[in-house]
Amino acid sequence: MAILETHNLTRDFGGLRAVNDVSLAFEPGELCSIIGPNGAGKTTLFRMITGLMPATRGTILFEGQPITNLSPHETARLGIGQSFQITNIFPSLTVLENVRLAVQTATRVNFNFVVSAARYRELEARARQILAQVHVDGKELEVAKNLSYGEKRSLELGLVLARDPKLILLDEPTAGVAHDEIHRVVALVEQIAREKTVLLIEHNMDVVLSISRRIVVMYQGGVLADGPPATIKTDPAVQQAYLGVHEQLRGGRHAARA
Amino acid sequence: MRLAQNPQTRVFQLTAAVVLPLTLVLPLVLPAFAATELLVWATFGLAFNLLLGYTGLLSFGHALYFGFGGYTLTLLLMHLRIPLLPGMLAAMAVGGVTALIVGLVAIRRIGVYFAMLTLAAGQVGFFIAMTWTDFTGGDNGLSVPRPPITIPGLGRIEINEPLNYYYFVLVCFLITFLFFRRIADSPFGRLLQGIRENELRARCLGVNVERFKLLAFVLSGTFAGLAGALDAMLVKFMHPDFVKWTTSGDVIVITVIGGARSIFGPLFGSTVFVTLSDYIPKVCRAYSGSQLCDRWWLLLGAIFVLFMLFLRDGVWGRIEMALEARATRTLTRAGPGAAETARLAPLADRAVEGESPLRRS
Amino acid sequence: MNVDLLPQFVFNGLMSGMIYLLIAFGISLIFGMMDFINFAHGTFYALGAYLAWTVTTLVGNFWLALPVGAVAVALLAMIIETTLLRRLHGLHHTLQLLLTFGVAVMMQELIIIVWGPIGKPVSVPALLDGQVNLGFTYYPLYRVCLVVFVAAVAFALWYGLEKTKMGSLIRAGTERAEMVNALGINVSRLFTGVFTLGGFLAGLAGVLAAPLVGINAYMGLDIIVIAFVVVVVGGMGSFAGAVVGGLLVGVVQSLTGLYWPQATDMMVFIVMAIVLVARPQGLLGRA
Repeated sequence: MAILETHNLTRDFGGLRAVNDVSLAFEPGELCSIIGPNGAGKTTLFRMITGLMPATRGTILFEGQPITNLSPHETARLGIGQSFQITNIFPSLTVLENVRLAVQTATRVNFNFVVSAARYRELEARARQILAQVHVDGKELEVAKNLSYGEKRSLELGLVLARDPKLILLDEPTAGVAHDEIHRVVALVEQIAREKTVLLIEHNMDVVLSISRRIVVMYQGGVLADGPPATIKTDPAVQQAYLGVHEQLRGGRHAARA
Repeated sequence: MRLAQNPQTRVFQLTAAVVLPLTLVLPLVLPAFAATELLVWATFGLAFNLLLGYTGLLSFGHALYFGFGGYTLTLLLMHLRIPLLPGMLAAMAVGGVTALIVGLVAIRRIGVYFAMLTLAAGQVGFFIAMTWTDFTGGDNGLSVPRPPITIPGLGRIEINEPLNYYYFVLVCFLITFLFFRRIADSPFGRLLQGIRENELRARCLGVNVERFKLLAFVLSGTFAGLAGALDAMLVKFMHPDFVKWTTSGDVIVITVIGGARSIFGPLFGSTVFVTLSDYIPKVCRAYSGSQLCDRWWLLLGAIFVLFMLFLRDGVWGRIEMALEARATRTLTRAGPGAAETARLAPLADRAVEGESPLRRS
Repeated sequence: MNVDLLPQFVFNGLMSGMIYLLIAFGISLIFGMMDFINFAHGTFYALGAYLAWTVTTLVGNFWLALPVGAVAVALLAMIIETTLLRRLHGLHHTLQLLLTFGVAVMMQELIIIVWGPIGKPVSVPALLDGQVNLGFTYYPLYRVCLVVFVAAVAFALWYGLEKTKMGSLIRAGTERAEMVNALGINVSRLFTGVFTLGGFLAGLAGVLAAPLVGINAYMGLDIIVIAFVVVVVGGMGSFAGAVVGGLLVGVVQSLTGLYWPQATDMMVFIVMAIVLVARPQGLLGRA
């Protein structure tokens, strides 16, 4: 059974159609990149899936269940996690507290005024585990906003992982990351993808081509092409639709600098 | 009792060890009335700060719960002659329920809209207090008794004397203080801070943000009701001004000046506020007798603005941060082993309160 | 139920609505453009009214007070923007609200220091003193002229926004502030201009309202609350919203004053609450 399906998903903004009749299906364990020029509808698609934005038409199914108009906290509870273009962490809290809080959200103690010390240590231990997994250990007591941008990105991934989601949507995980830290983010994404289904929006073609097992190309709200990297690279429609991407597909280095 | 390893907890323990005993002897320094006033407003501030400092919500009409709490107690004492403690619990309940009603409408909106809706609620409350004269006495107000506490089995405790009343209010304040301290450290309190820090992220982590905000709002209203009841008995007079927007403004000023970052903030803010409002005009008039002395709000306003610009963590916030930095250094200086212990000491000791929501993140 | 007073009170409401519109427009514009919540905007209004008193007392001429008041306040607004507000961009809205609230309180005290705590009277200029026959009722001439005048000003504003290049820049700025930056326009000058315009309109409103309402030091804070209600009801950042909101609030206020006077303040807030619950972005605000 597909883990995520969209059927005729459409989103209008007044007169503008941002997402046009998109029907896609993703199997569990996939690592798929969604690419396309700005305005192609990629982020809007993600927003509809997680519930940050309502769909104008169409349906979305997660593990066979309709989730089309659920709110973000409901989709998160079902097992969908997401990271954003602009890093979304808890800035004034420490690194450890960031993750500990995220771990806590998945428990039943959220409304508790009291919790046993043992339970607390459990949450903390799990938080440290995750920090080790995303390679931000050693900085537990640092205030999150003092981290480097790449570390913040990793921390955000840690927050996402804290809930052990089944499906993870990453919106431009390498955007704004310093060139020498990109590999770190990429390695993390690959590691995560071993156990979970990962969809990512990316502009960095190096990254896209190296890790994706499947690429979906979006253009003006619709799906232009959908297949393994080798096919996409040589697809004439893709090449024709926008020369810019064409250049990027041919010479990944230039894209990285864009 | 040994000092905590965690820097924030350590600073809290040290501060508490100094400040709380001071409250026991405060009537030696200030007249009992002023000292009591200080504690009442500190209680109100603690309740308000759960919303502003911890959750990041600015309520512009918080006097509503304060005033309704006061009215509840007054009317129950006057008409039903029920014992004091149940009356106070009823005042708290009314404060909480009123907050629930307002919260159900206002919580869904953010920022300015939320502030305006809470302001609207406050205005409606003021209107009710002013016009429902059969009940509230309207502009003439109501006279408030200060009955003794009757505990079955233990007898009566008179609190009519100013000094006795001070210690009664002190007990109420300490209960409130401990309650909010517990919340700050609890999973609930930490989640509120997460909501303050990044509501979107909290939502995408499965948090039903509205429900948490609503609970915080209700808790805040409940203890605002307590403060209102205490204030009514302090001044022995209940009046719609308790519900007026100026009272809402007062608690905002107190919380901000004291520091929204810390649980001691409202106490410091209240001290500053009560001192200024009681003494500045008197001292000024004694020295110069000029008309300018009536305009002391200009000074308060200026202080408030300056604090917003330069000292957003309030009087206590900055000091607390400096002390915590120092504690961190002390703990890590004690050698790498001690530092390790400090690091690994479970943060279960104390939540990181983070910065005031008044900082741009 | 006093029905024959109804048309008069409706007209009164429209008239107050006109005053509110001028102030609300400034607030809305400043918020939409500069993302700045100015709770001290009512001070401009109060200053306009007090200056009207000063000028008419000194010179004996109301007509002079009109431009002097509005321009003086506009100048003050410009100075404030260029010196203080520059530092405050990008702050959290809650912080802006609190900060400008503190400033408003300070200004109120300063006004009392300068002009004294007792309210001041300003009389309607002799030329406009008198009644006009509106057909269904007799109505003070001054008020009719006020409505006509503000309508003209509103039209001029609308024209400026819709038909001129500067206007479209401003409109673009309220929708997408980053866009204006990208267009290479001198953003800080645009901001100063917008803020000054807001101040000018509020000062103008103050002068116009001076003969009608009691001039007192609290009028700044009194009006800012109503003005924010208008902005919230009409929709932040919307010019049409300021107009619709202003007129709606004015009429509601006036009619409540006719049938249930003590509830006037409360009724306005209840209307606001209803609008916000039904339509969170305001009647004409952007979703």
